[in-house]
Amino acid sequence: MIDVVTIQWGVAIAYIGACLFLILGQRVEQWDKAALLLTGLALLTHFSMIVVRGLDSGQIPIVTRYEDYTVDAFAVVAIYLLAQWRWPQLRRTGILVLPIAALGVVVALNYSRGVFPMGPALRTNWLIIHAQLNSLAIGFAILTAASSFMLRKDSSGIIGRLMSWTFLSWSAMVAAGSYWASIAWGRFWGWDPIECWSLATILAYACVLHLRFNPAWANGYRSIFTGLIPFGLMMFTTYALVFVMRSVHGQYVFQ
Amino acid sequence: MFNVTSSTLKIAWKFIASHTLAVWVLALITLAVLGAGTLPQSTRLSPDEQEGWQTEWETTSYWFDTLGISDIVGSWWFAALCVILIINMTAGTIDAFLRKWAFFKGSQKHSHEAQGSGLPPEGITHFIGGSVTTAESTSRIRGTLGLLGLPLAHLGIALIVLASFWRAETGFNDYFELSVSEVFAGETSKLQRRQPLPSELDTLIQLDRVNIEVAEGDYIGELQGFFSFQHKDGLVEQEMVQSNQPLRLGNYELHTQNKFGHSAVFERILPNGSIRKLYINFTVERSEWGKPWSGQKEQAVRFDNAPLYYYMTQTNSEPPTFNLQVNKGRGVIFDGTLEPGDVADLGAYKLRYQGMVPWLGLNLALVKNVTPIFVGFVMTLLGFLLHLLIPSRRVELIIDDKGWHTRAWVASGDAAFEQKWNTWCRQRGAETA
Repeated sequence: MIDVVTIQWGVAIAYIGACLFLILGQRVEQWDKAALLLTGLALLTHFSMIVVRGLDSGQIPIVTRYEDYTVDAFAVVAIYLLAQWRWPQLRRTGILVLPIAALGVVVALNYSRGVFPMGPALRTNWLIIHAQLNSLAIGFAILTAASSFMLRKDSSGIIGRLMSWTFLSWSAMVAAGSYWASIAWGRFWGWDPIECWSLATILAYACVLHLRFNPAWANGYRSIFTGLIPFGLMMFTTYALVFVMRSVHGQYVFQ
Repeated sequence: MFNVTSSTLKIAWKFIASHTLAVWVLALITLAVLGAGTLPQSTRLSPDEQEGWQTEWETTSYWFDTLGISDIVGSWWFAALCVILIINMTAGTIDAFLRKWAFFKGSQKHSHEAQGSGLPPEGITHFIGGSVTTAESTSRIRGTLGLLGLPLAHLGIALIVLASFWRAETGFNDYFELSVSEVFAGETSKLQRRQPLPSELDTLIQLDRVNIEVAEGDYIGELQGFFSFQHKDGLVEQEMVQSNQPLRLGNYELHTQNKFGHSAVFERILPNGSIRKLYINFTVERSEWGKPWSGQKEQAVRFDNAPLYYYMTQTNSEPPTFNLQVNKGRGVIFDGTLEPGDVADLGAYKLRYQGMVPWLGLNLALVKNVTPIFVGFVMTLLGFLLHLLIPSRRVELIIDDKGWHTRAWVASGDAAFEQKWNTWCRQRGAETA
């Protein structure tokens, strides 16, 4: 029987392979189709892996850092596939997006794959809503960042649209977390470091979205640079903040 | 006298409603919020931590206090930024809505134009809502609901900000630790931030026992507190409180936190013979919960404003021992090992050690005025969703003897329409403008 590590490496290699096909697809279109087919199959395997993990542990697999990275990487690829189906111009962004997802899948393997019981504070549907919106926002954010590097000047509308979806899903994640906090702790907001950085991410995205009304800031290097600021805030808040700052959330996240 | 002309007012309105102002205010609030999340904030520090910060960083903390950086979100300038944001948002939304409305009504210049001979592209006639065969001019606006999206979202944000200020004035939330058999009646000294309760807590809360299970790998399996509550009318109730299941006590709610430990329980016997309980809480690592445990703690214990310094060590020996050294100034006034029932004479009072019991971290919250905030969240998200899912577009089609002529009013960045338009125009080999 093939073990999870082999499957996970297989998924990561498939994403890298699809990325190489997309690079070749710049000259011969057939490679593009092969890339999408391979990505689709890898995503299906990725999804099956998450489902099996959930069935094995008897709980939604978003409790550990291993599970979080795996689910986030899944969201990144799923959103990429859906978005490029809606806007074919985005297909080429897979050259950046797919290796990032592969990296997520491989990094996940560095963390314990043990099954840990969900703490009492996490036994609520709000965890599912909150965490899934977080993964969704990360998926959109990575696609937006990749698009701003790879799309042509005339695709500024698509980048703005993707950024709007990032903003919406991250804001919904914060709103869901706020409601959950009001149930769990009796306060909807506490100006805790994670809460502050999450709000700063929303505000920074709002700022950049408003900035994009000015055509001079909607294209080119200025657009890439300004778009990377909220993206950086989001990545730091999600993956690094609990390691460098004491936060009330630290005792709950990624047991 | 100032001569305020209409052009001055127009310029002022244009500035107040501008995206430029929005960008600057949002950027400044972002920086302020990042500061609030990163720098030491008085609202986040316990009184002891606050004292430590002010002692160790005397000059920095002085300037932080002077400039309002030690409580950024409570500062006047942060409130001012929020007020400017609300004004800008309101003005900007009204301005943008009126301009968009005028745009889609066709009173402003169109964004797309094409013409050709023969039949018009199928997509355009479909958009208009039927076949157009005779000489006529038809126009149709689609997605009017989408126009309401951004105003609704901005209204929601304004509601969140205003309701948050209101809630900050009227709400209450503080952390406290309660040991088994200890009674809490709303004493300010028990609360972490030592703020007085805004209204009386008309219930006595006693922790009867805890059920804390730590699974292998230091994961909390269960964390429950079993309490007795005595109401003002004398009625006693018993309830269990656990995560995500707070207990309502009049206007207040009691919530558990993921914090627990062991508490050394003493009876302080005063010279007049009266007895008061003294609880000193030790934090216990999750891995040590439920096992024979050792710990150390230093704490200044005040009595009549005169602090005595307790140096305590709980030793994991058989039987467990509790070593206590008490200093007054530089002099040691007691140094010995206590077993349950032993008495230490500290001069000002005697201390009878009773043993160790568990303590549980709790939050006491005043639940008031939160509904408008969540209504604001829903309005914001729903509004933005409407804006994203329902693009507003207006297309006009004119057919005459020479052929067809179409114009469209579409917001910039509407990539989906752009695609459609290009397809339509390609279908009939139209000349686009």
